[in-house]
Amino acid sequence: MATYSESKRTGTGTGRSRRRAGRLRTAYGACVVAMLVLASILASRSSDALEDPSQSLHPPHSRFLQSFLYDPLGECTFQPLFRFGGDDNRGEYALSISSRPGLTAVVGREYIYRPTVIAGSSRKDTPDLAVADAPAGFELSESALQFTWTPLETGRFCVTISADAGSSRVYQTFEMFVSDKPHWFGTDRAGRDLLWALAAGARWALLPGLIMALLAVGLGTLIGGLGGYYGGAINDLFEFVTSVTESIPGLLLLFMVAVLSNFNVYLTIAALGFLWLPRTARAVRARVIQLKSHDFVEACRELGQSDFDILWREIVWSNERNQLLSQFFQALSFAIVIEVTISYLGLGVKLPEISWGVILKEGRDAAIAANVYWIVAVTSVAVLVAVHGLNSLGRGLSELLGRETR
Amino acid sequence: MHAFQLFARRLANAVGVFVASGLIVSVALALAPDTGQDAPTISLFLKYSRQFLTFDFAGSPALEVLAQSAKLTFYLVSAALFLTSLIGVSLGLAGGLARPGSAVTWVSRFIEAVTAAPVLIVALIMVLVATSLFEIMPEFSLVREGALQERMIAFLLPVLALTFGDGLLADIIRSSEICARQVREREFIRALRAKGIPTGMHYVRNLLPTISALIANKITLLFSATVVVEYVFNWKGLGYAVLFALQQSKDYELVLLVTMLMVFVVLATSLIVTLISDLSDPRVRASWKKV
Repeated sequence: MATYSESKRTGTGTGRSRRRAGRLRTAYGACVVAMLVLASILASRSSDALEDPSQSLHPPHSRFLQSFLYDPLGECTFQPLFRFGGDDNRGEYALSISSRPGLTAVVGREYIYRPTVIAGSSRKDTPDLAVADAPAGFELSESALQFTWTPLETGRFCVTISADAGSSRVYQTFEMFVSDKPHWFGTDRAGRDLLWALAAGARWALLPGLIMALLAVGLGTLIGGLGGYYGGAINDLFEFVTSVTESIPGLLLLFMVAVLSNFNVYLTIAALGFLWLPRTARAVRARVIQLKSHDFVEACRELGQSDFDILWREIVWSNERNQLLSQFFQALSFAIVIEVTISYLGLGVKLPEISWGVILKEGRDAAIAANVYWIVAVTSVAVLVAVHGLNSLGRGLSELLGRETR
Repeated sequence: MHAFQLFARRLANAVGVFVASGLIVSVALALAPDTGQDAPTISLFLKYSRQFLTFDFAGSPALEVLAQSAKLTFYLVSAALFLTSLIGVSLGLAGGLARPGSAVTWVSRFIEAVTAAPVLIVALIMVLVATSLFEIMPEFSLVREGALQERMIAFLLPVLALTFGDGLLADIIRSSEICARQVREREFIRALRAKGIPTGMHYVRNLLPTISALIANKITLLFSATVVVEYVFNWKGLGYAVLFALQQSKDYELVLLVTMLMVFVVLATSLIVTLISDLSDPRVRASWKKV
């Protein structure tokens, strides 16, 4: 009984629950990978020009993302809210407009803003709304409760509305961004739609990583298997080379490869494979050393199987393949992180090519210069989801294929 | 005699690794295109390695220029290491001594999950925190003249980014939790507890080698993360200097120097940690005394 509850707590679980968890993880990871692949294919097939300076730094069309915006004024001149005639001594609430307007509109579609006015105990219970300063067509609707507008051209417009409660009046000023298609995640400084830029960057996240993961896991298995099965000088040499590369900070080594290869991302990420390789090699070697003294290896030898067959088919393929699969996806997610990092540092993908690191670099500058949060926030979420999804896929597959759950 | 021999062999290995890594880097830099000057990097490497190994730093201006940025990086790394070990060890101890499934273990699991994020992402989120919450420029060099509070925030944010990024904290929490649980389960600890004798020293003695070995293993990762954090926060340390040298000034001498400095620190840390773990083992201490 104690064993059962202990296993439940530590998450090792029974075969059945592990299979269920493995299936969930695999499904989630497969969805993420499918999304990445689809996005990169769509982005590469489209011939849309990404840049459009007139659409620079549009806030996200999504109202949820807009609710994090702390400065809706934009470049409009600030008009402080003021009131006249109100009597504070009687404990009145100040008249105020408490709602936040939607800041984006799409050409040809109707835009509606229904402000919430806190009137307190003013003489008039329903304050009069009015347009103080707005582009043509922005007007109060017939019910006098909301503003409507069907914008006809793209651009930025300053809007000021007022609420009048007889004895006092307040203003609300905000900047409206009109575009010809909705930018759900906003745009960056060059006017690229962020969703589109993320899709275009998915290619750089996936392709170099794929090469690196294949290289790392393939070569690592080869070296680890040979070292574990035959041992000897190959091991000592490998250990010394590994201790040398591991004592140099990995990023610095990658920087040098980047400089040597004239900032070729594929070569740089492939070099990353050599930094990952020892991890796979050590795992495989430990497993081979552990298994090669088992009875089944002796039995295979008696049956006349060659060393090649025993090592690669009987030991590595039948016992280690789920671990190798998991390592492959871990390496892939690590490659995404490193690609984003070196592109951010300006040593990987460079403009006009778009990668997630390049977007993050622009987002950081925009966050500091113009209080623009959405570029960094959305791209960070994309990176985290991609990394987590790939890790989950690897873990889920190894749980599904593992010996103990089958 | 045995422990001494072992240490001597480790020292020799470290020197070998230092020379080999320096050679790799200098060969790479010698091959690099558009070197600004025709400086023979191999001979530079030989000069610097002699200086590193004899602690004789006189007569090289590049080193003196580098001292300023090395100081800034040292502040950043040491503050982050201090914070990481403080949070990690205390959470790990609390989690290891608490009953499984209690609130402390959930907090640990949560922090482990959060700190697995890449350091670049954590640092950028800290930039967002600085600009939106505190409304300051998250650049230490800019707010150096500012109010004390601003300077504190501008110092703390990179340190926090380095602490919570890349999973070092998660590793420390996990291994100190396992270590604490193992110590608690031992027979003699139970006997001591039953007699009412304080057992804290035994936890320290078992945790110290584990955690310091972990940090020594991960310090190269920490240096990699430092490069990123310094670039994000415009922190004019070693990593920033390396990036500037690679991208703009093409000053490969500086790159070689910084890399060798980092390798030196890594190897020295590793040696010190082996010494600590040897000395905290009574059997090894006894064999040292015989020497």
